[in-house]
Amino acid sequence: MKDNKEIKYFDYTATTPVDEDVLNTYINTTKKFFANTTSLHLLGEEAKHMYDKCIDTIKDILGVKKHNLVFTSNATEANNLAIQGIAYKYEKGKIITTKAEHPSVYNTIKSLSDKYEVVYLDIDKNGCVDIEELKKELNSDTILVSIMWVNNILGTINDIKSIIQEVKKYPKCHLHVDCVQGLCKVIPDFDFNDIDLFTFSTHKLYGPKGIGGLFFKENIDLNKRLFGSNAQYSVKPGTLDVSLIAATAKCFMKFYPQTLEMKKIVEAKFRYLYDKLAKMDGIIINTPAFNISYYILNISIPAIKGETMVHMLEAKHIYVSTGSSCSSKLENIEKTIYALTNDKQRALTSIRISLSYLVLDSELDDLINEIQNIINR
Amino acid sequence: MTHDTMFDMILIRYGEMTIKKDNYKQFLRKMVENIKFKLKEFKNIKCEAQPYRFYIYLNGEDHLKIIEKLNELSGLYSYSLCKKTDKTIETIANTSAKLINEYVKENNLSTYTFKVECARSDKNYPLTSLEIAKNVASLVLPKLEGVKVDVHNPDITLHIDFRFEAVYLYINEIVGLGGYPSCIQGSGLSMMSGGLDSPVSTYLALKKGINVSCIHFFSPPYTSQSSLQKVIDLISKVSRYKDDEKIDLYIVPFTKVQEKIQTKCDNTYLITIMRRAMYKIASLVVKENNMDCIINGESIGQVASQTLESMKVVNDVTNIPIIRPLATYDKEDIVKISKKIDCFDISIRPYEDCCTVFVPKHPAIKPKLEIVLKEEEKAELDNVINDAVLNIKKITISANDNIDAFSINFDNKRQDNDKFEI
Repeated sequence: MKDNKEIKYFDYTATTPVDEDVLNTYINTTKKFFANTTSLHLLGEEAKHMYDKCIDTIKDILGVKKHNLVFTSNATEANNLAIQGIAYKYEKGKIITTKAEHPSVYNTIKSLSDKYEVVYLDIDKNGCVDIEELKKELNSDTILVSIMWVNNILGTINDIKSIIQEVKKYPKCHLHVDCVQGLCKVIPDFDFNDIDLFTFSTHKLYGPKGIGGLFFKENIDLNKRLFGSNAQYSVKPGTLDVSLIAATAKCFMKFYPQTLEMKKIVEAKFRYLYDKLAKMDGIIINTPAFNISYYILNISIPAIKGETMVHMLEAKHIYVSTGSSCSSKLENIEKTIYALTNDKQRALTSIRISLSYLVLDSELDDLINEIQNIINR
Repeated sequence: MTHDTMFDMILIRYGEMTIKKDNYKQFLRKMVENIKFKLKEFKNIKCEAQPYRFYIYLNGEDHLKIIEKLNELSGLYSYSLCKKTDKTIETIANTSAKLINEYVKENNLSTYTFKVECARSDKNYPLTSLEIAKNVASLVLPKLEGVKVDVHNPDITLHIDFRFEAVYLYINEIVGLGGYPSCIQGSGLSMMSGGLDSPVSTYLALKKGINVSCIHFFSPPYTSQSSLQKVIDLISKVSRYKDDEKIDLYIVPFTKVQEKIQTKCDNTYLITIMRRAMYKIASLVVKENNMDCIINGESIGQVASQTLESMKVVNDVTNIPIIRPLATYDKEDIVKISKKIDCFDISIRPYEDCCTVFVPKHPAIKPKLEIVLKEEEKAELDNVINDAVLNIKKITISANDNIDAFSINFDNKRQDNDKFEI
């Protein structure tokens, strides 16, 4: 819910405004279930029942049958727990990931590179992992493959179905998939039940911040990185916020069934925007034309630094992003664009326009016009 | 309140219990207790228990209503409406003629055959029983219309019970339920699905004197509250045949077990494994409550799960005796009894029951125990079964009050369903 009508927001990949229904669920649950889910009294039991119901609801919606679900503070924490939880089960081994991962995966794995053999796969010209590359790297020492479903900078979709097939050939190897940008945006062509570990974030699904989640197969005994009670399988102990969890369940209830409808709306907007921007001189489109979620359009304007562009648009109440917002404040160049293009200038001048079913056509026109104005200047 | 009848008493003959020589006294005590409980609403009647006989003096109470109640009592062989008279042959004949004419009128008989039978326990009386019968008959016949004597196959038999204290006259016997006095045997747990068979088998077990409680496997949301209501209504009907007209019902929350079986086990074995889970739970309830047997409505070959092979595999989970009163019954016979005990119309209410949901297309007709055991291991049923047993809800259903299935709280936590709306 963005109150200010002047705001033209195109940074839905960074985070989304909270949906009215989701907020109501949050407020109602907060009022009704303040008790600690581990308390043995009725209030505690009620809170626990609500928590159980939310978990069952989310699992049902995703068709997940053999996974545990643990709620974390965000997807970064979920990715950390997943990757470290698998890696530290082993003394040594090989971990395969990509150069285009979100920092919460990329840097977690980087931190393990002293002890483990870490391989960063390139992304091909379509912004995706090359399955042949993965095949080459996979061996019997491999303990973990971590590959994102939908890229957060480009919106490209990895072929998770084939990745599942390849990883399956190595029984020791676990597959972790960062699903943050895929859920409720792309209809999966794979079965979540075939993935060992996967993560999501509520605030990307029109829910509140402060909550993410990790699904991991029941038979996986994750190495514990946090110590406390036995809540949440001891993977993420601590008092649960039933309100945030209920809000998360509500997000899945409301938006997951609408994935296709929302995608159709967003695809139309994407195509409109793409056509207009592609015709402009001085703009390079980074997002490939195929195999994409349509929620992200990444462009480079070689004449203007990405950060400058963000501020110029911001002056007109138009909000876009330079890249993964978690890293965009760093001096670093955008590594995904660099990995895709091998072009420093393009990476430095890239901006990410990300869409939602909430984006109005008039807002798109304002964005297009403003970009045109800036380039013409 | 007086009723327009000549009869002033009912003579009751006990049934099969008379063959039980050794514990006859115990049987008799229970039978008398049951009769008295059943007739407690009739404040004016007077009861008199004698060995092998039981007399009820009507004292103006409605004899038809009492007969209706007697029809619900197991352990009774037959009963007859009686008239007490003095010992003169003339009085006997006059009263007999009135009785017969009343009976003929009530039953719209225009022509009928007739016979007199006499039993004389007063051995001091100068006439033999044959002579009494002959004398009474000759005096009665002229007072009747459209009558013929037929001593072999009579429509009406006039019985003269010539006793020391008085003479009792009665016509025709009403056949009672038979069986043993209710709850004289041990106790059993009857599996109630809500279908046609289970209330009939429950009734038959009750009739044989078993102290029956019921168990129902409830799978919301797959089966609705209405299907539970059906079970409650059926038990309410059947409870009329129990000594205190009350039956305990154990309601097992079965959803999780069924879901687990459904998702983890080979489709063709769903029913076999489900029934084994039911038997397992029933056995636990039987053991915990010191009962003696499990009762169910299985009829050999009726459905895939009721072939002998299936029964064998299902039976393997428990060492508690399983009584299957309907094992050899044909469906038509079951329907007949179901109608007789007023359960048919309830049984055919169109709600899903635990046996009709989750039915695979091709259930295993000859299941193999090894495969079943393997499938069960795969499903790791123990936890969900334990959970189900822990959350069993027990209610008591009586013949008189109506329990609303929707008012039953299955869980403290779930009293207010709106509350848990996400």
